[in-house]
Amino acid sequence: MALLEVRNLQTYFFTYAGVVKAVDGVSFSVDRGEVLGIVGESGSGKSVTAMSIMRLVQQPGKTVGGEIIFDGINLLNLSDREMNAYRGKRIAMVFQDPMTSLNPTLTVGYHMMELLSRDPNLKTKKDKIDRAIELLKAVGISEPEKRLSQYPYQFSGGMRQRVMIALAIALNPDLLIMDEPTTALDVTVQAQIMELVKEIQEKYHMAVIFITHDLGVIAGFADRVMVMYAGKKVEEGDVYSIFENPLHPYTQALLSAVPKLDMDRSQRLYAIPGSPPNMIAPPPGCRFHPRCPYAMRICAKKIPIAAGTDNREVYCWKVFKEMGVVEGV
Amino acid sequence: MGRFIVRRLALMVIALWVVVTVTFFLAHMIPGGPFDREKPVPEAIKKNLEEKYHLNEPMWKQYLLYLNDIIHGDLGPSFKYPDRTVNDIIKESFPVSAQLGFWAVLMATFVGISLGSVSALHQGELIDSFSMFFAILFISLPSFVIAPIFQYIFGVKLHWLPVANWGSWKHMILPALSLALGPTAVIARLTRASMLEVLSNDYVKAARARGLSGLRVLIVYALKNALIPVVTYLFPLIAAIFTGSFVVEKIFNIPGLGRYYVTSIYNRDYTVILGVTVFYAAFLILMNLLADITYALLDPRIRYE
Amino acid sequence: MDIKVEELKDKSLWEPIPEEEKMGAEELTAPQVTFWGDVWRRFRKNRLAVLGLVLLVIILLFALVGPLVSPYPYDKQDYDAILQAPNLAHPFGTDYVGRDLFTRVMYGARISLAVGFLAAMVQLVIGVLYGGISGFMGGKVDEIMMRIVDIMYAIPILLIVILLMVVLGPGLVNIFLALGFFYWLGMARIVRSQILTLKEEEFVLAARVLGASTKRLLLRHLIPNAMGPVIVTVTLNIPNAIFTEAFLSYIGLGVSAPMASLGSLASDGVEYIRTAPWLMLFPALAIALIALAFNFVGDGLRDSLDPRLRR
Repeated sequence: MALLEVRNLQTYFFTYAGVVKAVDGVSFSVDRGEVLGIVGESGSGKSVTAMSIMRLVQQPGKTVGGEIIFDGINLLNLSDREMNAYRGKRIAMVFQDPMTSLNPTLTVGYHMMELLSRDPNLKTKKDKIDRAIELLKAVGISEPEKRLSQYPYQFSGGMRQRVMIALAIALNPDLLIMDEPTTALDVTVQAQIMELVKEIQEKYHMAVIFITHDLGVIAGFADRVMVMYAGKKVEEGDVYSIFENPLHPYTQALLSAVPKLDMDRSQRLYAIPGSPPNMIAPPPGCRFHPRCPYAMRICAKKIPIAAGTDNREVYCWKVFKEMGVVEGV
Repeated sequence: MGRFIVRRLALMVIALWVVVTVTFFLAHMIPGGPFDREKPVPEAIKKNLEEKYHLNEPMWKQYLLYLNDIIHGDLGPSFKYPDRTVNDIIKESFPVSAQLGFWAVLMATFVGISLGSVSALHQGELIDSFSMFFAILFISLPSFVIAPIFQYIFGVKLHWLPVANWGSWKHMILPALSLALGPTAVIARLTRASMLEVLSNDYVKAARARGLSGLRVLIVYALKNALIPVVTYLFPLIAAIFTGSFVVEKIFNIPGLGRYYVTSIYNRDYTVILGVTVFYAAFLILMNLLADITYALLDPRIRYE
Repeated sequence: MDIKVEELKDKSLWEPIPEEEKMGAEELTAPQVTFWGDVWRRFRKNRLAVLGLVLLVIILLFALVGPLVSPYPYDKQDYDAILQAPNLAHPFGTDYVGRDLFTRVMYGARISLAVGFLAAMVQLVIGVLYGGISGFMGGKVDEIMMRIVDIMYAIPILLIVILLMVVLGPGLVNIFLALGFFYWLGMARIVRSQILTLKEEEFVLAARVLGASTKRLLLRHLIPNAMGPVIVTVTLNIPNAIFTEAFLSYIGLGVSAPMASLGSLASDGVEYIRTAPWLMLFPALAIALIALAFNFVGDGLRDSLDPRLRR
């Protein structure tokens, strides 16, 4: 059984101007020790998916339908108190912007001790300090003893993200959700943090959901990739087949937007034409069709149904047509 | 922290000096001398007084003498009550104003912060709309309007509380309430806005994602940080309450410094006006400094700047 | 899925959509409205803000037109009609020398509004210019200009205003002068910080790169973009200025008799609170209504200008 199974998740935002279906019927699963990458442009619903799993969607948003089965239990049925026991301890999360993820008025040590006091194995204060130091070492922070008494603003962005990762793994969670953890960082720091994330995932064998808008970032890390567009899943598959043989026109476009080392200098980077859809009144049928070079009449009329093989799922009428399910077209 | 305080202290000293200097020169701009009254003072006495207060000296010397007096805490005599100095008046009446002000400040901060937090946590619900409506209502009512209305309703009509005068704790309720309502409303609105801002911050989301209890996130993460901007209002708050006390003390006939101040304005008792102005300015500037230090204590980013 | 295979057999469904027929993403994005159109749309939805605006218009009408059509001059004493309770001839009653309170309150409202207008002008002219220059010049100039503001900020302004009034003597012009000295401070700070933030923005940089002159940059780019917070601050500061005038008049430093401001009317009324409470009540209500109207409008403007609330 999968560690996490999300079925038909629907999280809507009830705004002034209308209802935004930020996540509109998304299903996926993550096994123990598996790394799932969720890829999409901003506004595709990937972060809202993560916040829905944590059950931290803020007003005016609300998860209105679906199931989130974690280790056999539907998180959506838990009380707030019961859900709190899951957060941090069984499911942890790292956010995009390390500059604002730590409370500026508390020391890094306070953040860590506060969390470690929930670990029943650490009885004395010294146990907790030792564990905090061990954790900071594990994420590559030098002089951890001294660092504990410092405030967040005394850390660089990369260092803060390391602290966030230390906090996330402190209670040995089964699932770690990382929401664009490298986006706000410098490129060199990005690479270091990715190395750290990989190392930690292998060491603790955690399941990871890694959210990014950049397919290139997770190429060497994820086991499987799910591509989202405008609140819907458009394609899912193992990382090799997605990269080798992207089927959905949107995935293809995303991949051609990633620069490659072997690219000819004269070759231009491909930019996806058009802009992301207005989420209050999304295009009918396939939400990508206004930007799709292969759009057919059916694409504007009907929501695509799943096409694909055991390990692959694509929501695209073109792929559907090419599979030859419907005779004569 | 040290450098921060030194900088603030320097600012405070300069501000005080500006006040004293402005006061001095304004005093000398007063049309006619301080002894040109409706009832002329006999020439001999006038000369005597002028000598006593160095009015015959050149301006710069008078200024230096004045500065010297003030540094030594001597705020001068009263012309209206020649047997009393401004220091006497302050010593006698300021404790009354301070007591009244203390309760008003306490009430405004306590009620304001509680109301603001509750509103923020129930954003958009009935209790939020309700308290924010009353907040804007009380902001629109100056204390000199609230005070007589309270006096009329609770004193004259209902006889629940004394109409005026000073003595028991019962006498304090209406004036303290009149002074506190406006600032309470301001603090409630400020706390609410600041709380909403903090609650939408990533570190609050991150703390919740770590599974900290709602109460813990509220107090350690939200309230503490939300109060930082509220502290910056503490100085204007204290200033508002003390200047508000000028009229409220008059309306309730309370023997505080504010009432003396306003009476001396009516009587054009210049030395008292000047002396009390300098005293109030010094007091409020000191409060400003305390508010700044509190601010620095709450926010480590400023402390180490 | 509720799609039947039969439905999919229609061959026309599988033809490519010509480029021009695509339901373009661009056309489907939210209807394009101008910035101020959008602000107005949200302002209109705020019931209290609209109420404030209506109140303001009514108060303005009463203050400007009311005294002209009133049958009683503001200073006409009528010893046959002393301390009358509100009645048909005198809707707010009469005072201790038989003057019509309604007319006097309308005159007082005029003064209050004039003070509010002056405060707005001082903020808009001195405050915006001072803050704008300080923020735009930066460096030493900014440093010195802001130190001056810091020092003035540390001074309890009302005390100096009181002192100024004592020295200058009561009178409307003197109130204008005394208030004008200080009412730009907060605005200068706000405008400066706005300019500092905006200076870092891309579009200003872009204009710079394109060789826009400093003056043009200030007038065409920076100031219009800092307008939002400026308008809100002005609106919310107007009641403060009105309160200050009322307060000064209350302690006998405001306009002189027989002219009346709402503050001096309320102050006069306090003495009669047992026998003729309307003398206190109506001026007080008038002050509160004016302040309430500005506060409602200011709050509404702030909410509709706040980009974070744009959804």
